[in-house]
Amino acid sequence: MFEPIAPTLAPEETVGHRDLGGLLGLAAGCEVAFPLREMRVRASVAGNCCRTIVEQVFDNPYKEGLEAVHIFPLPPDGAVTELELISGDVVVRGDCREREAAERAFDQARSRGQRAALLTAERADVHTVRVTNIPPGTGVRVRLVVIERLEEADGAFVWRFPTVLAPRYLPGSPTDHTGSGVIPDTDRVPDASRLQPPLRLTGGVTLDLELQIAGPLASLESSLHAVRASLGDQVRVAPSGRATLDRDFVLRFTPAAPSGVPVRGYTDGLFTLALVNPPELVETSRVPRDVVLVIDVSGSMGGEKLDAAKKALSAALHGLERGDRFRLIAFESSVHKHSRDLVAFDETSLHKADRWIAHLHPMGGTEMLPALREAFSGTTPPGRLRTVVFITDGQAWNEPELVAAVERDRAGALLFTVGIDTAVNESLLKRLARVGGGTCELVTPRDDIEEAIVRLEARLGAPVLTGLVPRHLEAARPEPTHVFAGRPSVLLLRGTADRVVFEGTDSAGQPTELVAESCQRITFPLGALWARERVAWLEDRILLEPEREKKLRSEILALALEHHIASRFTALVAVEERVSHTGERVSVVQPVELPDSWSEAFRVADLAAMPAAAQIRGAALSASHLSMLGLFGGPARLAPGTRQGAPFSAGTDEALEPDETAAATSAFDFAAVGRPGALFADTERKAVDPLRVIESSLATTQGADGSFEGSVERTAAALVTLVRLGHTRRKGTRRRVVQKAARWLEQHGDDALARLALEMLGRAEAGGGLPQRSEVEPLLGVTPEGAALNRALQASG
Amino acid sequence: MADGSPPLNRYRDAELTLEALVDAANRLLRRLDVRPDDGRIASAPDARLVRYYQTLGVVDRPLRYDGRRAIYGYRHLLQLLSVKRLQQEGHPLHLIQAALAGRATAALEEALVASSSRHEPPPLRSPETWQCASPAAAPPIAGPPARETAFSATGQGAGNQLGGSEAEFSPLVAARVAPGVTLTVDPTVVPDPNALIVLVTTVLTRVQKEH
Repeated sequence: MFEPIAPTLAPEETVGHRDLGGLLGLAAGCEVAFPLREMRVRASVAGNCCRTIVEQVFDNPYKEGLEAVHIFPLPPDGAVTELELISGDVVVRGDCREREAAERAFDQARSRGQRAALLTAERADVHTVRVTNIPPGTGVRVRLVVIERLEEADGAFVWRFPTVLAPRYLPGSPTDHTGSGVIPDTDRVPDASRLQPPLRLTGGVTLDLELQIAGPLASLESSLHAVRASLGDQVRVAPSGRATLDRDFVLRFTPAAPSGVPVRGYTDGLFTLALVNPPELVETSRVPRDVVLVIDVSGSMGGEKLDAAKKALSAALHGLERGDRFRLIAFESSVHKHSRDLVAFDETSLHKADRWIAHLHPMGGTEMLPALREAFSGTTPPGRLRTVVFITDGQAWNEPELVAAVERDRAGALLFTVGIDTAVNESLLKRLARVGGGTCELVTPRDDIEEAIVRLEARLGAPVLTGLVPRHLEAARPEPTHVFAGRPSVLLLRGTADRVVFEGTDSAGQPTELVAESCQRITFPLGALWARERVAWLEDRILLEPEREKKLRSEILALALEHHIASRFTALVAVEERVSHTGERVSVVQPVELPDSWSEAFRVADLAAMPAAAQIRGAALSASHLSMLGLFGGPARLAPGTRQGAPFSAGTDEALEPDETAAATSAFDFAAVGRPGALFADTERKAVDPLRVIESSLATTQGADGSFEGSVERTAAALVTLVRLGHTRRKGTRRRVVQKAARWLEQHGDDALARLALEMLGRAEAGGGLPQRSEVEPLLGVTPEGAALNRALQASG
Repeated sequence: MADGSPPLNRYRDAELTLEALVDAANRLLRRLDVRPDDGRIASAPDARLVRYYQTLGVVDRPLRYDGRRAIYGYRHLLQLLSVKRLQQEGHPLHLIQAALAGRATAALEEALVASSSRHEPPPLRSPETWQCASPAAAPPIAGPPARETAFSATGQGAGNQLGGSEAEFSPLVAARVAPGVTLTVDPTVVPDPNALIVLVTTVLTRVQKEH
C-alpha cells in the first residue's frame, strides 16, 4: 500500500566539485551549492493516522570531507520513530539513545572517519540532522519516519507539513552561543542557539512531496501549493509545479462518508485511539461573554498577513452580541490598547473599534508576553465567560515562557489562538490553546479568513462536553478533556477494551456517558503516538512545576527509549562500520529560505529604505530588515530619512492609549513605503465566490443590536438573503448573523416586512422551500440589502 | 602597503568584542584598499552588519560570551574581510554566502594575503568622479534616460565619503541623454532639472534620427 521512495542516486553517485578556483577566484555566475540538495516527503494518511517518510539528500560539493548540519521543522505533534543513513547500497538503521550518549557515539564516529547521522529534537517542532564524514564528491541520504495523528475540525481533516523555520523573534539578553544556529542563547530563551538556521539569500531546495489518503474523499483543497491529484479509493496528491522549502504544505480534505457516531475507536491491540465527536449544536441560554481580542502587529506580520489578521479581528468583533463586552489589544515591541478596560458591545463601541482596527500597521518585534498578561488582567464577574482570542503568526522563540505565563495568569479565562502565516508556528499556537483551555485555528493568508472566524465563533462560548475521562484506560494526557463545537477530540489511551467508555458532563450540566461499541483493528504504532503525547504533556508539566523537573525528565527519557522516539532527552544515531573519510573536513550549516510571503514585505522595504541593498544583488533582505523585525531583541535603528512613528497613522481622531510602561519604539513603517504588490504571483489566486462576498459584507455591516441601520426593511432583506443562501439559526456558517437579525425582527413583529422575513426563516428551518423571488418582492427595494437579495436570487437561482 | 600584505598576524590570537572586531576590520580594509564607499560595497562593517552576516552564516557564531558580551576572534575577522573583499571584486552576496560556507581559517587567510599582493590599488579619484548614489535621492523621472545622481565634492579627502555632512555637498542631477552624452544639472540653479533632461533627450533623439 505504501510505496517507498525509489533510490534515484546511483551508488556513491558523484557530484560536481564546487570549483571556485580559490576563494577569490570566485567566478561570477558559478553555481550556488549547499549540502542539502533535495527533500523528499511521502506521507500516507488513513483515518486520523499519518505516517510520513522524510528523506533528506545531501551532497558534498567541497574538496574536503563534509559534516552537514540541517535545522528544520517537523509537525509538532509528530514523533520521529526511525532514522536511516543511506549511502549507495549501504543502509544503516539508527538507534534511539539518551541524547548525550547518542552525541558521544556520533563524535566518536566522526573522529574515526566513519559516516554517521544524528537526529536530535530541539523543540517539539525544531529538529536537527547532522551527517558527518561525507567524502568529497559523494552524496548520502538520511531517511526519517514520522508518525502523527491528524485532527479534524468542522468535518474536514488538515494535513500540514512545515518545510521551513521562519526567522523568529528572540527576546532577552545574550548569554552564550553553544548551538549550531545563528542566534545566541538569551536569559529568556536559554536554548535559542540551537533553533534558528542561517538564511539563504537566493535559490531553494526542491521539495518532492506526495501524499496518499485512504479515500474516497468529498473534497480536497491545498492552501499554498497548486496541486495535482488522482482521485479514487487511494487519493494521491502532489504539488503540480516545482516546490521549494519555503512554505507549509497545507491540505484540507473531507471524507466522502463522514461518521455520525459519537465515539469511534481504533486499536493496535495494545493502545487505543478514540475520537469523541461533539454533540449536535443545541441553542442553549447564552452566557454573556467578556472577549479580549489580541492582534499581532509586529514587523513580521507585514504585507498580506496583517490584512488577513485585521479581517479576522474584524470578523470576530462583528460576531459579538448585545450583552457581550470586549476590548482590543495590539502588540509588537509594546502593547497598544483600544480601551483601558472592557467596553459594552454597542453601536458606538463597534464603530470606534472598526476605525481603530483600520489604522493598525506593522512594526517592531513579536513581544507576546506583555500582551498576554494584559489580556488576562482585570476580573470577570461570575456569570460571565472570559475568552481571549489571540491572532498572530506566532513567530517568537520564547514558547516555554509563554506557555508557563498562560497557565499562571489565565485565571479561568479560555484562550483561543488564530495563527496566520505561510510558515506558521504551529507548535506554539497549538500549545498555548491547549494550556489555555481553548482551541487553535491555523489559516494561511490565502484562506478564507472570515470563514475560519465564523467556525471559531461557534466555539467561542463554553465547551459542549466537559470533564471527559475514559473509564479503565489511561489517557496520554491525564487531565479531563473538554470538547468544543465542531472539534472532535482525539484521545490516545493505553490499553484496549471491547467497549471504550467515556464519562463527562454535557452543556446542560448533566452527566453523560459516551460509548464506542467496538474498536477497529489497525496496524499503526499507536504506542509511539501515545508516548509522544505523554511526553508533550510531561514537557508542559516541567514548565509548570519546575521543582519536579528531575523526576519528569526521567519519565520522558524512559518513555522515549521504550517507544524508540526522539525527544528533548533522546536522539537517534546511525553509524556506518567502515571508515569513509579521513583528513580535512568542513562543517556547513544548511541555510534556509525566507518564507515566501515574508520576502515580499522585505523587498518593498528594500526599495524605499535601503538603497545600499540594491548593491547586494540577489539579496531579498538586508540587515536593517532583520533588526526591524526585532530579531536581535532591541528596537530597530532607523536608516536616515526613514519615517518614524507609532504603529498607527498620524492624524486620526482616535484616543490611543499606548502602554505607558513600554518604551516608545521606532521602526520602519510598511504603510509609509506602500503595500507589497502581487503576493503569491507564482500561484493562482482562488476565484472569489460572489455569494461569499455577499455573506461577508452582510456580516460586517450588521449593527451591534442585530439590525441593519435600524431599518426593518433592510434587516428583513438581509435576513432573507442569508436564508436564501442556506443559512438559518441552526445551520450554516452565518447562523450567528441570522440569530441576531431574527431576534431584532421579532421585536418589530407588527411590521409586515419583519413578519415576512421571519416566515421565510421559519419555513426554511422546518425543511420547507427557500424564499422565491415572487414571495419577497417587497424587499427588493433600493437598499444595499435589497440589492444583495436581488443578487443572491439571481446567483443561486 | 610596503610588504603587500595586511598586518593580519597581530590578530591571530586576538579576542575581540564586537566593537573591536568592527574597528579592526575597518582598519584592515583600508590597508587592503577595500573602500567601503566603493560603489559595489553596500556599507562599511558595523555591529549590525556583523549580526546580519551571522544570520547568513558567513560569519561564525562568537568564540564565547564574556558575561553578556560576545567575544570574536581571528576567524571572524577573516570572514568579515573576505566578504568585503569579494564584494569589492563585484561578487553578489548570495554567491559569497556559498563560497565562504565551511571555509577553513587557513584558506581564508591565504586567499586574503594572495589577493592583497596581486591587487593593484585603484587610481586616485578626482573630485569630479561620478558617484552612483541612491535612486531615492532624487525624484524619479519619466522617460528613457538612465539617470544618475552625482555629488560634487568640495574637498579632496571627503570625495569618497557619501556619508559626510550635508554642507559639504550640493547634489547635482546627472543623466545620460544619448549614447556618450551625459548632462549635468544643478537643481539649485535650474528649477525643474527633470523636465530639462527629458527635453534634451527628446531633441537629441530627433537629431540622431534625422542624421
